[in-house]
Amino acid sequence: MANERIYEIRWHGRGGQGTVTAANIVSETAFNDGYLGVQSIPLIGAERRGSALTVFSRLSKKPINLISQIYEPDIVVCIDPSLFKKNKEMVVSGIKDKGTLIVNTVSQPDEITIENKSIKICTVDASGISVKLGLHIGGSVVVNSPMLGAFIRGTGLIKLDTLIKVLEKKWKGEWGQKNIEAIKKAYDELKIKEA
Amino acid sequence: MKEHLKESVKIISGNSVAAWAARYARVQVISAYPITPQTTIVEKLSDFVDSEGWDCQYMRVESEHSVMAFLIGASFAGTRTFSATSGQGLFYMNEMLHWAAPSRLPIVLTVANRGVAPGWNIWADHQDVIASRDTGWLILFASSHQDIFDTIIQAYRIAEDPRVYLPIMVCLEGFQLSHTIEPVYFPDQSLVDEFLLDLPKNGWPHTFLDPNRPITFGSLQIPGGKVATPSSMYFEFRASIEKAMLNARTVIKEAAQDFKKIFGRDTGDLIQKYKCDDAEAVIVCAGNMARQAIAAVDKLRSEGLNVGAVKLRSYKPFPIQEFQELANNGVKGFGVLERNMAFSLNGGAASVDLKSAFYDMEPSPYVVPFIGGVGGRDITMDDQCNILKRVLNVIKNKERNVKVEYINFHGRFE
Repeated sequence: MANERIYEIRWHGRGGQGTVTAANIVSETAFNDGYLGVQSIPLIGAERRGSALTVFSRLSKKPINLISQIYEPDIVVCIDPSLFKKNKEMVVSGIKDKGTLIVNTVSQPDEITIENKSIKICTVDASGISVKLGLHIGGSVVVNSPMLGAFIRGTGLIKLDTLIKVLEKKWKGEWGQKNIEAIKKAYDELKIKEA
Repeated sequence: MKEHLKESVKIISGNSVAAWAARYARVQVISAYPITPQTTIVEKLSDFVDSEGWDCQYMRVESEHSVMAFLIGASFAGTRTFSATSGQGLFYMNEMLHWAAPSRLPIVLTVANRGVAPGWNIWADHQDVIASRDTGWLILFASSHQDIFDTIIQAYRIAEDPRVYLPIMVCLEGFQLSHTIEPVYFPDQSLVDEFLLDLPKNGWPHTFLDPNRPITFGSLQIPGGKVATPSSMYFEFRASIEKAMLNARTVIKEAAQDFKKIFGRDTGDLIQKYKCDDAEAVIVCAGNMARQAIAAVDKLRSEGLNVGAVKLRSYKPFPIQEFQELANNGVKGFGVLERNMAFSLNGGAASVDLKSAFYDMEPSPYVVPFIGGVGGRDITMDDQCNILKRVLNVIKNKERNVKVEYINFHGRFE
């Protein structure tokens, strides 16, 4: 049954940060890494920049027939630091014991605790990485690409090489290179506290 | 030169799949007016024409009413036409829907289903398409991303069959299918070309304008009485739509069989059955809830329960015979889960239709109505497992006149 396992991932971010794109890229990379069942389901609310949004992803070696929202994720990724600060309870709600939490924050993993659960906590200052590399569109910092690097290192579910191959087809030129640099930087800089 | 698309796998949104299906079908005329959650379908098509040089007449018009009026004109000229709409847009188009079907035009319209305002709701809901139930259009539901492609391709084959010549709505649920991304297998263009019918050289025979054969469209038809006259054929004309709708039953099955032969995928025809052969209770759903029902059935089967799932693929024509056959083959109870409300009729539209289909059967199977997923409200696999268990209990306790049950409903209703 092991190969039938469905990994359930919940992404939290704000409109304009590239949360939906990040989840989509993970799905595409996973498919290229041999997962036949991949999906990402955006739960879009007001469809405007800055408003909180959630995306649900599922990865499995077999095709997936589930369509529902995810209430007990194996992995939670929080792209936006302010969301985690203000709505931590919402972000981590239902996360499975022994699950993985990946947060864009300047805080260290030791500074984050999840009550009554043993969680692998990963942190990285993705915003800082993006600001340094000048990754912004229309005035907002794009933090999704460093968070992809954090995701790969934090979960080990997909390969960094595959991700880079997928991205090189999508994002060309200097912009693409900068994003890949951000991914690698976050991959290297990710701080991990095992469950 | 004709474009030749290559076999590929794309991990894209349901709306992109719909756009690609139209391109594979070599659609010639598109009219467009944006509305969420459909918008990215016509945006993608616009991109095909504008950035990729796809050879298609693309017209942005000022309303959904005009979208359909434009396609009616284009289809009269014998072209392959396509557009997409949602919810309120479908309502604004309604008058023209009623014009397209009696004109016997094989237009294909994708409906990215959404809730009906007010309250403002852009998420998965079938009230919009159910409101188009008796427009004379065929109504097909896609249940997955792959199914969106397969159903749109089949829709052209069905609509353009001379035994049918009726327009078709292909429904996909807003956001849950339209904006979710999943892998989809796209074939070599040659397979689609082989599967679809060649367009007649001079247009559809019933709309072809020829000075040697003067005809008129939409002429006045007086009521008539006991004697038939050439100017009182309105009733007969309406009945011809019914005939075509019944012919579509055969054509849908043929199309599904040929599709399986050419593409190797079993899409089901009017319905698609999953583990129904020895099932005592089945869950009936349209759209993507039908797909998750498969997971629910697998789970309950592993617990030893004799349950199955039925995907309601064609709502018009309604699969009366297929459901009767299931009942004759031993299915005792049908749990019907729907994203629409047939007000005052104790359930959604299909549960009422199902009861009607079983009326003359002895013993009549149990029909247990459920409403859920309204306005995109979440439905989980466990919800669907509970529905199947409830149906098994109804059968065991021989309950009749079962009251409709709302799933994940947080209001009070006494």
